[in-house]
Amino acid sequence: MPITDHQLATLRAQLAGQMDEHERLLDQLETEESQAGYIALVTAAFFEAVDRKFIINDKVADDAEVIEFIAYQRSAHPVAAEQMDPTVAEQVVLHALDKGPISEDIDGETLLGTKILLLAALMAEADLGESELDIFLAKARAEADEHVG
Amino acid sequence: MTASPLSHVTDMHVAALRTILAEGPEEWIEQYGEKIGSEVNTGYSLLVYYALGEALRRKFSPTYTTPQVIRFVADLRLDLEEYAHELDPRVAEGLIRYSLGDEAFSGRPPFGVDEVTMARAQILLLLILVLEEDFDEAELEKFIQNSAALARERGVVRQDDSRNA
Repeated sequence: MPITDHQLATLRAQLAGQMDEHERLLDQLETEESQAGYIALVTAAFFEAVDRKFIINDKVADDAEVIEFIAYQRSAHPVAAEQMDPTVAEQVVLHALDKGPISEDIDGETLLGTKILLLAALMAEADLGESELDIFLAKARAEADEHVG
Repeated sequence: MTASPLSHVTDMHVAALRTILAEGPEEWIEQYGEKIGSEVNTGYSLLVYYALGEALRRKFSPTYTTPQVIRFVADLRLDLEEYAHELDPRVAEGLIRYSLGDEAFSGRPPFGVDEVTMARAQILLLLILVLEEDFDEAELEKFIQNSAALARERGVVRQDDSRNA
């Protein structure tokens, strides 16, 4: 099932920092199918945000830039420091850049939680305006649609 | 707590620590790698643990913040360049915060990793901290002897709470 407007609005609210609205919309994603679609959208947005940050003019950033980004985010935000495992976060970003595997020891919930935290950090840094955010989300939606079909 | 018979620091362990800190890991492997690797006595690990604790207290005293620890580990790994993955950042941060008695930190060694990952993180951290100290020969010897005295006095490292050991 394609990504719905509701799923898109849920992620948009989060990325725009409207957390009450995000929570309200998230609570309405009740069926397994709608939750799976939302996870696909978050994952696609995460990949899009990683590419945006770490691939410049077709050149993929080196590992040091990834280490630096995660260390910076964790040292700047104490909550992220505790919630974001640096080992997992680095693996998740490097994997998104096709630069390495993700350990099989990491469970799905941790992976998703890490992607959500990283996505928030990447988007906060990108500081997109309204229309740029819409373009970003449209790309993520198209990407997710290809996966959930 | 007194040292267990399976975990006491011998003169050979002290000499081995001196070798790795003064002459480097390659010399250590040549002289002690096999000897210590085949020992049942875990005194050498104990000694390294207390030496690391000493080095960390010197580095992060009197106070420190979690962002400083994160930054320190990240810089160390950036210095390691293509070997950055040899030092697990979560384990390194955990070791530092646990050793310093950070009450806000709930992790406990071995942080869910295997012995090799732990040992590697401990040695890498210890080597870099000692390098940063730029000890002369007498200062290094004092550091080693202090670490050995602490390890012998306080004994085994318990995973539940070594800080009270």
